[in-house]
Amino acid sequence: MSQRLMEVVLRPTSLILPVILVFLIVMGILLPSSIRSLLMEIMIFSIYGMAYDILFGFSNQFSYGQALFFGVGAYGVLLLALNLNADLWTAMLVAVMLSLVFAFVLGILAVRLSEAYFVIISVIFNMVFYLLALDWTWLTGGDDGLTFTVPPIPLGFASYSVYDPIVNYYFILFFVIATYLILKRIIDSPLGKILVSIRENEERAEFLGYNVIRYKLIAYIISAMFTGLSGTLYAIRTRYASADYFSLIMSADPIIWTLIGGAGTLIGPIVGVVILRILTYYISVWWRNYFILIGGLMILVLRVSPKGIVGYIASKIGVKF
Amino acid sequence: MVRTIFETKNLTKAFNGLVAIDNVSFKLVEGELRGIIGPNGAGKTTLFNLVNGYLKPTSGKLYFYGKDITGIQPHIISQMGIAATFQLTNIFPGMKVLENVWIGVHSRSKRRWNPFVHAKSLTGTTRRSEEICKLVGLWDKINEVATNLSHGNQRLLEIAIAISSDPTLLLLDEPTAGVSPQEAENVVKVIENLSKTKTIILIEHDVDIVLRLAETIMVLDKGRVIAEGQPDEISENSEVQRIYLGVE
Repeated sequence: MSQRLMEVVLRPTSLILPVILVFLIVMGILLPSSIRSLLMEIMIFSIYGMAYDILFGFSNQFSYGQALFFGVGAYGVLLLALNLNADLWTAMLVAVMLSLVFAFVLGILAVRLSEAYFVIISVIFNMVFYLLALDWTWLTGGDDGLTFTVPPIPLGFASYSVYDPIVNYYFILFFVIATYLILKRIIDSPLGKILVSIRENEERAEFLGYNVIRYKLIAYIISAMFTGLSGTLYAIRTRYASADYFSLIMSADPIIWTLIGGAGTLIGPIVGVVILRILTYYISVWWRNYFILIGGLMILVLRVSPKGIVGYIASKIGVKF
Repeated sequence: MVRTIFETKNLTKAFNGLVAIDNVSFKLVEGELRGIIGPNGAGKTTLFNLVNGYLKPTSGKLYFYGKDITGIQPHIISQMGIAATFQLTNIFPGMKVLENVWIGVHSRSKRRWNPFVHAKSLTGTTRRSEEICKLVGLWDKINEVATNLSHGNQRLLEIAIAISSDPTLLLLDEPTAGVSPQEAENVVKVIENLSKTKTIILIEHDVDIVLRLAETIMVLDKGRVIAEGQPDEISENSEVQRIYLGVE
């Protein structure tokens, strides 16, 4: 009985998601601003984490350089709004398309490589962008970064300013929900099944007639686009971008979220983001070396369950992702 | 009228000077079940890997339905209708049995990666996958995760995956390797069944099984074909007896 109940509760389409959704919608107005702002950050990074899961969790491509696309998204929206006076939708769309283009070009080179070489080349690409962003201060502002005035959100009948935190909150919430629904749809589609089969046994998938390189590239591009989207939202939220958005620490974050929350589950990275952001938020205030705690947590979780927290719960109640 | 569907001409593969396949030419007619035997290191698996595109030959040609397939990538060869099972079990370990087969059946679908349909809505693919599971005798195991199956059942799943892509030429590499006698009997029955509709090349260590199943047998030694013919011809061939069957 309780197992049946748990299954119903945990099945992504059933109760738990509507409950979370209602909670998030209501909380946008009720929460004090500091918590709301923490929640916004969690939501933005949830998009980043889910995007990373498509790459790492579903097609077994361990990238240590996704911040490249985060930075491209952030700078894309900032530079378009700042230099070309683009409206917000155009700026965001172009920024996400830029991620797509970069992912296509870099992906063609990267996805052919086997695991370790893929990791190395992803770091190299990331470092090139980071160093260029540091160096090209005329374009990026380098270490100091650039601030910009975020254009209002045009919604046909009216336009809203993201400087109102409540507007910004619902703006981000919309994209989290959209990202989840789109990525969930992709995972449940034949494409998602093919990606899983490539993760499970790349060689076998190829002998069945699948062009493995092409599917890996598709996963790489999808992941990059949603990473770019999270970058645009982050730039809009902070009204700022700097070379640090391209840094390797930004690339390490989604790996940690995905490993702790559970790779290949889509909601795992969100769980990872929630835990880590809350830990960071409350502990970094009184303990500078809170990273030790994160490292310890990671070792603990992976020791108990290589499939992370969500994978552990799923295996306990017999749900298979 | 028998029709040649597969042919190799002077096929040679050398690894850094070691010649694994030496000038092998043979033809397969439609519906044939050909056994390949030979001692360890004779080049049997190398020959398979040349056929399925995993390796490229040093020289020589391969033809499938008269078309030159030499040097074509494995996924395209698979699309043309050649499927293989492997000596070491090569399945999708973390997926359910039905999903293992589903992926193979789906590989023949026209709109393979349409992201806007739900995989579960492709009932034709699911039904075909279920039929294949029944055919190889894994019907009661379709919801088990592949890695939890017994070794014998994994070998059956291996065959199920290979036939899921509906090949016209099936390569079976030691399908009974490491399988208990009664499970092996299962595998043999499945192969017997399949041979009614497909052209098969079977590599097998167990000579009894080959003699029982195969219509023609080819004996490889040190990369060369040393004998080719009907099962009774082969079992009486003194050269074969000397090098393979261990008879003085």
